[in-house]
Amino acid sequence: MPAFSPLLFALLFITTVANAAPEVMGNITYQRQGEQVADGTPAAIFPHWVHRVRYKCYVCHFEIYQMQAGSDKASMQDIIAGKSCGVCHNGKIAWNIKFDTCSRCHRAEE
Amino acid sequence: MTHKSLITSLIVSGWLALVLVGGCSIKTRALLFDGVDKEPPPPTTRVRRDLLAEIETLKRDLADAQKALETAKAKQQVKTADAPLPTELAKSWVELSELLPKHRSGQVDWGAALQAGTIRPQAGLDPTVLAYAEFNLDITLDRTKSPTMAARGLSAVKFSHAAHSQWLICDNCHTKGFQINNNGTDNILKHDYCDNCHGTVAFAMANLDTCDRCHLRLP
Ligand code: HEC
Ligand code: HEC
Ligand code: HEC
Ligand code: HEC
Ligand code: HEC
Ligand code: HEC
Repeated sequence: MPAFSPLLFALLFITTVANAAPEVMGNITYQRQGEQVADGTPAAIFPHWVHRVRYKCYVCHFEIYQMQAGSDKASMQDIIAGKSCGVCHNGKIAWNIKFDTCSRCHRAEE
Repeated sequence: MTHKSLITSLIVSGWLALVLVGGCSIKTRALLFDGVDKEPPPPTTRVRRDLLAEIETLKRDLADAQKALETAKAKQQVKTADAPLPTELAKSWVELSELLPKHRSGQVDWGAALQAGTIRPQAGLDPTVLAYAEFNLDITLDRTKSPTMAARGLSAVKFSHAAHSQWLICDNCHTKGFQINNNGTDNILKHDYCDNCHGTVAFAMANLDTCDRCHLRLP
């Protein structure tokens, strides 16, 4: 058992720290819509917290998005063409869409 | 034709005209113009002095404006070249929320973070875009006639435009905005209007410690 206790302590520590953090607000999960194919790619998640540290709400609302989850109908092609997330995730304003960045947006809900 | 070339051509043609007229004899000149050779009355010294003074002040104003422009440019350069804040380097929500001030209710207090400079959200895609001015209008939503509000002893709700205009523009709430639903439905946490943001992105009505951020008095 003694070999386990440090691990247990670490686990306990992590869980308490995680519990101490307030619940995350405004993570929006994009549901696949219409013609979009899933092919096993997890849904895209938009975290408000990352973005509101950097931008006021009015940078995105309503110029790019409505304040209603599911109203943004962009597909991956639109995004690569510079719509929706692609307004910024284009390698100039924020990191580009490349094969090593897919999983930053497409990830299982935390 | 550009402005500059127009002015130069005007000057050149004026000079040519002067030379031509000046080349004529006094008689012809007298024919052309009435009483040219009489000395024109000199501008009175007072007018001259006023004009000179005005030119001097204009020059000074120009110098001042140029200086202001230089300092503004320098400031802007410093701003864009600033090192990223710790909050901008946070890799996860847990990491970030440790850096941000908290409200008594345990939730992140974004307004305080903004005030303290812990975060500095840009007002546009271009970091040099200026933010909209703060709009200082505190209002009290006093619908205590609402049967549920009255029955529960709830008082009016304060709404600060100043706090909201740091993040939002008028359009976000007023034109396409949400309609306040005041039908007094008996759901204690149903706040149809404010809920559009509070609870989705802005602080939630999560526990009883949050109520007095909006309600002036609680039962
Ligand atoms: C970087 C861009 C961006 C910024 C900045 C931003 N949002 Fe959003 N917001 C989004 C996106 C994307 C969605 C999802 C839209 C969709 O699914 O169609 C969204 C959705 C919303 C929704 C709807 C949520 C729901 O569950 O229906 C609200 C409310 C909202 N935002 C409020 C805010 C507020 C308040 C701020 C400022 C603190 C803010 N947003 C800042 C991009 C942004
Ligand atoms: C207004 C510009 C803007 C828009 C629009 C925008 N982003 Fe971002 N996003 C950023 C910036 C800036 C960062 C931070 C980049 C950095 O850390 O270098 C970021 C970071 C992220 C991150 C954090 C990645 C990580 O792990 O570091 C995710 C996830 C993300 N964006 C997803 C999205 C999604 C999904 C959308 C579209 C629904 C979107 N963003 C739209 C500007 C934007
Ligand atoms: C900036 C965030 C972001 C990045 C990076 C990103 N995606 Fe997407 N992706 C989205 C959003 C938003 C949607 C639309 C909602 C959905 O279907 O989940 C989407 C949709 C999709 C879809 C559904 C079908 C379609 O065409 O709309 C696939 C497949 C996809 N992405 C694959 C990828 C791959 C592969 C990469 C890496 C090269 C990638 N994505 C990178 C945000 C992103
Ligand atoms: C977060 C949402 C929100 C934003 C952003 C917002 N307002 Fe308001 N505003 C309200 C609410 C809520 C009321 C109260 C409506 C009521 O009494 O029915 C209000 C009322 C008003 C009133 C009427 C005040 C009174 O005494 O009846 C004026 C004027 C006004 N807003 C102007 C503005 C201007 C100008 C801006 C932009 C700088 C703005 N608002 C931004 C939510 C907002
Ligand atoms: C369009 C979105 C939106 C709407 C609608 C909205 N709020 Fe807010 N509110 C915010 C944001 C963003 C903040 C910044 C703090 C945060 O995100 O937690 C905020 C902050 C506040 C604060 C804290 C102010 C401070 O001093 O920091 C109060 C109180 C508040 N709102 C009351 C209200 C009330 C009451 C209503 C309904 C009449 C309302 N809000 C509607 C977005 C909104
Ligand atoms: C974001 C601001 C905000 C917060 C936080 C908040 N309220 Fe409210 N509440 C309002 C507004 C606005 C109204 C409507 C008042 C009006 O229209 O005059 C309201 C109305 C109510 C009503 C009457 C409902 C009805 O439909 O008539 C009750 C009950 C109530 N609140 C309880 C609470 C409790 C309990 C909490 C704490 C968990 C709380 N509120 C937190 C803004 C808030």
